[in-house]
Amino acid sequence: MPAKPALEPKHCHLASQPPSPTRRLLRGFAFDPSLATKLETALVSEITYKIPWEPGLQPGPVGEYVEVVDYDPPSQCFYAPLDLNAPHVLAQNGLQPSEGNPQFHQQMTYAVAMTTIDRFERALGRKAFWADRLEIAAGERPESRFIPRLRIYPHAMRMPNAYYSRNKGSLLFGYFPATEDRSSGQFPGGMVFTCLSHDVIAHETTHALLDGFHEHFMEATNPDVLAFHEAFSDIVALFQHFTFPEVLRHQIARTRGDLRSENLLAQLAAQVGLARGTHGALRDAIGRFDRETGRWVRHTPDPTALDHLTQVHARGAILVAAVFDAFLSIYQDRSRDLLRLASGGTGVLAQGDLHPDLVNRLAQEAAKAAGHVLNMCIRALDYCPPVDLTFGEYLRALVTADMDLMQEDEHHYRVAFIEAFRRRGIYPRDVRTLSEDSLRWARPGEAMEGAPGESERMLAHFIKSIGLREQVDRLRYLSTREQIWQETRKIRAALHQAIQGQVAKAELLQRLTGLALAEFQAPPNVSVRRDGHPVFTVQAMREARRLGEDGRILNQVFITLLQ
Amino acid sequence: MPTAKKVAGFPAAPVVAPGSPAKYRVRVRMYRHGLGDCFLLTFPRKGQAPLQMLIDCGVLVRDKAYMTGLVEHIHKTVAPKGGKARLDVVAATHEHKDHLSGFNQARAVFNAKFDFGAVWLGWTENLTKQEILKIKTAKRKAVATLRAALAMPGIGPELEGLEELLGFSEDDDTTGSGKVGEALEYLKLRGTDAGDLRYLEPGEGPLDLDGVEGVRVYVLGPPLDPILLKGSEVTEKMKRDGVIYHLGATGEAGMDGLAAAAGVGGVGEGEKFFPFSPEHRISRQSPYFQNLAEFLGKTYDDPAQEWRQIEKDWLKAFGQLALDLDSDTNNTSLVLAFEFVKTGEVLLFVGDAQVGNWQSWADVKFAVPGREQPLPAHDLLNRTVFYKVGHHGSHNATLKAGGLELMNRPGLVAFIPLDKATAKAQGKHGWDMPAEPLFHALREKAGERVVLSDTGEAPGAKAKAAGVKATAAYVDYFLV
Repeated sequence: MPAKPALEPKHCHLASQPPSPTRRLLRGFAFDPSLATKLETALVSEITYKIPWEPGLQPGPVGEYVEVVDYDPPSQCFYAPLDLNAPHVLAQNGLQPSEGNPQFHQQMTYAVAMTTIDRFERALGRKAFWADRLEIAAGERPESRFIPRLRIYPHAMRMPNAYYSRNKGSLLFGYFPATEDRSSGQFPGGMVFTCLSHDVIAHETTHALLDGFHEHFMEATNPDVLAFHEAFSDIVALFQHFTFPEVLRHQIARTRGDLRSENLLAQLAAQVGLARGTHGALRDAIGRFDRETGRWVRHTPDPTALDHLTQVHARGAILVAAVFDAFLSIYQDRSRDLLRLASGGTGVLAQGDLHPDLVNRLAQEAAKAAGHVLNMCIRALDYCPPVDLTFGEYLRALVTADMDLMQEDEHHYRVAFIEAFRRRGIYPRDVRTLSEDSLRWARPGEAMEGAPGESERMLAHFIKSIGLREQVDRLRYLSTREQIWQETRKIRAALHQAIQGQVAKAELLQRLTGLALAEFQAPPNVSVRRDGHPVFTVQAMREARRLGEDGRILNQVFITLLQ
Repeated sequence: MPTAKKVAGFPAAPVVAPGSPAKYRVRVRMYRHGLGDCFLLTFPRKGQAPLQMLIDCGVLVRDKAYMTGLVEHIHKTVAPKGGKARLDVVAATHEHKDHLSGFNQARAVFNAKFDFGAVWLGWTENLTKQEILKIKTAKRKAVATLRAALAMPGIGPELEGLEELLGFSEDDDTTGSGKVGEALEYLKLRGTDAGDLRYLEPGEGPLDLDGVEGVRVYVLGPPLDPILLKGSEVTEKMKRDGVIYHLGATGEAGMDGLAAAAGVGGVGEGEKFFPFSPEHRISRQSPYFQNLAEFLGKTYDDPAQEWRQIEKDWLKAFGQLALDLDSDTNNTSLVLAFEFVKTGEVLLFVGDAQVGNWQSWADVKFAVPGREQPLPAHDLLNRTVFYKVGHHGSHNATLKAGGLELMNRPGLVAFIPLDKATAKAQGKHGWDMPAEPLFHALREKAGERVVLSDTGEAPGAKAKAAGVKATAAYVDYFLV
């Protein structure tokens, strides 16, 4: 009698297996280690980050998006890579927050970078990519290479500095001894790590994400471009504060719900700022420390400030303040009814602490508003011109993106944005009024060119003939980022071919797209190929699936043409 | 420091240029001694010898004998009959070699043959103020550390370009220039001896020149605002490297870290700059390194990813620091405007003021006797007839908007103290002096009346018509 076939060891008993997790829990500092040293904030100084579970996470940590490599060149040494899947680490939601343990630093940078990437992807409705690497081999055409992972060096230099380097595809974080000035409230000479500051990590990660998105935003073609890079990175870091429920509730209770007064949520990189001896956070969206009076004072919007500020951080701060102001108006609008309910209809709260229930509800409203504002800010990137962005154009992108997704502006988000931008003198140059409709980018056919309906028909025909739908469908079923990257590249090449063929024939289409494509007719500042065809590139092709307010799914494809 | 050309000694030249007018309201003499500033202003007075004012006396590349010759020439100019010469005012704009070296190199002549009436310095030189002393000490330490780091094998090449920047602040004994700081100390001493040492602040004044009628002196800089005092910009190199810098300039902390790495800190100093205790550190020599070999083989040591290594990146920021040090010092320049009250004409001396200093003038106002509204500094710019171009004509030392664009007097004369050959010999690629766009803008305003101190560049016909006289040793401007 033949023996019973042995059960292959691979076939495990599925019914008894737990489902694979969707989130990994990791402990970390809420803002930075400085909160832990103050009695008032010690309770909320640590939080648990919930980041996407990466199945193949390796020691480093090295995952799908980032790799932490802890090399310290000034000290000429390495720090051992952290294995987040080791049972002792897994069982305790990662390592205990500690300034003196390099492995925890690795965990902190990984957790915050992944949180930021996750936020970005969810807002955009697609995968994030890092900037390509241009490899130039001798005698060959430059070749774009896919960069799967952003590298993170938590201890790269000895200075109060951190930066994103495209040339290295890396984030470099520095460390430095705190100022000897005792009035800073820091331990004089104590080591301060920029890689332990949520804000610094989120800020630098956003630089990298933005660079992967709009490669020309690091070219200072006007004073706004680099300032936008800074401002956008600050905006992402700031609004992530509102995803920390404990801190949010704490700060709402402390300010009695008035987020316009001094609070931690509106400040960036408190410890780094203090340790450098600046008497306050590195940046603050709503106020500043006044050296003369020794007090915190609220910013007053100055509509002329943009005319004379050229330093990128100072200029960027204006955009940050405008966005934060829009958020505060939205939050006030959303919480007014709660305040009336809690105050017998007057809207004026009685003195003393707020009721914890009210704090919870206010925190929910703040978190919701912050989430929406951040979503709007990120989605607007899809509607930004690929080069030479100005703050005014960003406002137009914000409004257009939001109108596409949320036709009803129920909570007056767009009005709040327009008002906040107007108060800081941020206007687009070429609109007639500051109404939503005139701020929105024009649709094809709105310009009175050709016979009525002609341009729409032509555009529809054009989209059909370049085979856009078929092209995009090819992306649907790809799973890894590298496959998507490869396929997108092919689609871009195919689109280039198709557009060249279609548009060159139709003069109206050329005017619609703004491209000059006909042979030997290029305007003087457009470069021309040897065969007489003007050069243009299909800079990017992105698709997005987003859920609108009314539950509709919006399918969008963004194609960026650059000439 | 490379020498551009060897000149035996200071050329012989008459103390009065041929063709000089007999009567004038002021003579501005720019010496043609190389890359550096030395200006002698002569204001005739009624019934007494003219008032003599020296603004700076320094050079980047000249030896002691040459500079002694120059100072002797100043002596002959001021006291043609011999005996002690009196400099009624000596002003030093800022602590850089190319503005002060002469006070060290020709110290003996200054001691033996000159009386000083008063010494004027910017408020930023007042070391009795604690915060200023702190900044100066930190700067000096930074310069010393950068020097030491340059000498280190493996580090030096990364810090390329730094050498030339340090040249200005560097203490140099090969040419008898000695310590730049000592020149300032000397001037302070002379000022104290004369009983008139002044640290000037913007908005101060107008000051009178003793016995000179109808001339007022206004102080425009150095700025009081610490942010404007630090007015450096994003450099081309940073843009080229695709790096966006954060959290501002490199602080003292980075300096200390570099000092430790370069081994110039005290014994055992190094340890305090390590971020973690020794048990965490795994060097390539450590027995535990083999545990990391596999991980590093896939990441840091992967040959295909060599481009991502960061061995020397932390050093790059120090180039920026050197640049900051240099432009911060430039920005402490004492800026003076001389106004001829009756005609409204203004002579403007800006030292080497850079962007921040220029920007600060927008808010500077003066309480002038007999005027109801305070006088804005920009009004003085508007009436400028003579401009001493800042920083030898470099790109970032003459602001366009709020600067040159405001100077609208017809007949504007601009003097650039610059020896082109010396500038070209600096650094790997030479210095861009005068910077083409600035020179162009200057020429648009002042036409041929832009005059270089370079001995190879004779003043044009239009400059001569505007009262410019030249000899081999100096160029004179006359306001008649």
